Amino acid sequence: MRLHFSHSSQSLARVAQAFSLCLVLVTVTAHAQSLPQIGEMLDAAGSMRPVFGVAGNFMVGPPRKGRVLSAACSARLCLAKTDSKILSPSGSVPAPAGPALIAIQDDTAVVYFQQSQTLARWRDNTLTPLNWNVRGTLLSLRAGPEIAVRRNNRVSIVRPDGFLVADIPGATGPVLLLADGILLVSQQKLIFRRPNARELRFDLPDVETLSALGEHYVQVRARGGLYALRTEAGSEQLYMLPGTSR
Amino acid sequence: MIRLFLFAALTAAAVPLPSPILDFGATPLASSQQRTLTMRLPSPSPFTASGFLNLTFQADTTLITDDPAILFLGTGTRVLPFSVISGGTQVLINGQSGATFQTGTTSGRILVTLTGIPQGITGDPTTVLTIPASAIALDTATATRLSGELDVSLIGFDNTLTTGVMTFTFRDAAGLAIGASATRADFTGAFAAYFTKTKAGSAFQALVTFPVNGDASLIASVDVELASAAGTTTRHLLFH
Repeated sequence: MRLHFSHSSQSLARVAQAFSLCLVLVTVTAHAQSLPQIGEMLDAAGSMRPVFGVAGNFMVGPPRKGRVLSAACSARLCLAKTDSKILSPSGSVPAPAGPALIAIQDDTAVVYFQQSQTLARWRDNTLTPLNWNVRGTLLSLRAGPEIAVRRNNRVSIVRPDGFLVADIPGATGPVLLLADGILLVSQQKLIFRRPNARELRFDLPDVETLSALGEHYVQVRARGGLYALRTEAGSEQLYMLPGTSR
Repeated sequence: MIRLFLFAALTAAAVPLPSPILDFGATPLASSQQRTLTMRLPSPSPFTASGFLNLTFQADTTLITDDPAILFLGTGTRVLPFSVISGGTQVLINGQSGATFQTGTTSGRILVTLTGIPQGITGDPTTVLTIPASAIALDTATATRLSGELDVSLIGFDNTLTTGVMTFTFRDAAGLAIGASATRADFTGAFAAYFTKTKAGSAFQALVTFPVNGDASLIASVDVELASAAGTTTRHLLFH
């Protein structure tokens, strides 16, 4: 899938000396991939599909085999939960049935299996059970580790030992904890709350789920279709994903 | 009496659909946009009508003939049905009040054409949307310092498909240029081959690598210039 080209012979072959810094730039080479990839989405039929392009111009690749219930992607890793396994680019591991919440950090992930209400750490296609003391309905996980939970109509962020980190006021629907903020749904609006309390609001009714699409994008599943929210600071925008009417 | 009635019915059936007014939003069209199209009639429809709304594309460049990212987002297709009820002016597109489409990453003309209306339509059924040529747009640009190597990663698009000449000026922490002159590279042929092969518009991801002999930590930033037929794009990047 990758197109690679190198130009050391035809292009630069230039030597620029920086005498005071004792630096020599010898050659320049360039490599171009076939297309920039945004991440991987979970389509309306339950298939994982690569998403290519740049902001506002997306192309969706062919569906990968197998029905997927939940998925999450970072810059380095994509994990997909089927009914009985967790799939990764390097293999799979048997897992409890049903959907899951997945939080990827570097080459590992924490996974919450919603039906069995159990937690495990994923690493190299193995699962290690986690015995965290978390009460309530788990909504999202992130590195730290921190967990968003709903208890008595109140959504909070807690640590594995139950320590309360903060409340998330106004959260009435799905919540996604990100490294650089919190995504939540409140009164038919999608709200991206930064650590500095800056808020961005997007009109989007009936949001059902939020999941990590890639390093800088979140997949938003709503009744009206599938969307991609760009989360890079200064470039936040909500886009539609192609071919995703439900 | 019967003859008169038949004559009136035939006359009504011969009236074509008033040419719809297409609205694409107020801001200028450009590449890499998602725009919503709505349609309304200037006068009530004389009959219940339906047909198809089609997107086609004519690229300015000869490197590629199409841009597959130009499509209606809801369905991922280039054709949608539309309908309007007798006496109504609001045209529904695929059952909705509007349809969102992408403008792609290639300069040229998007043709929006109405077809499949048995009664016909007054005026020209085709609306031409011009996507103007623009300088290279960078979605993401980063500079990374590795052991013995400096990497500049560029993700963006060039809707003229003419990119290739790149100029790099490295600077120290004081902002002073390193070296006697900027470093220039011409990747025009390689980019043209890439665009031609992928046939997916002009989105690209390029990693430019500079092997370094010496203390690369003294290089603090780089000015990047990317040239295309539509102009020059510059970015000042700090090495991380």
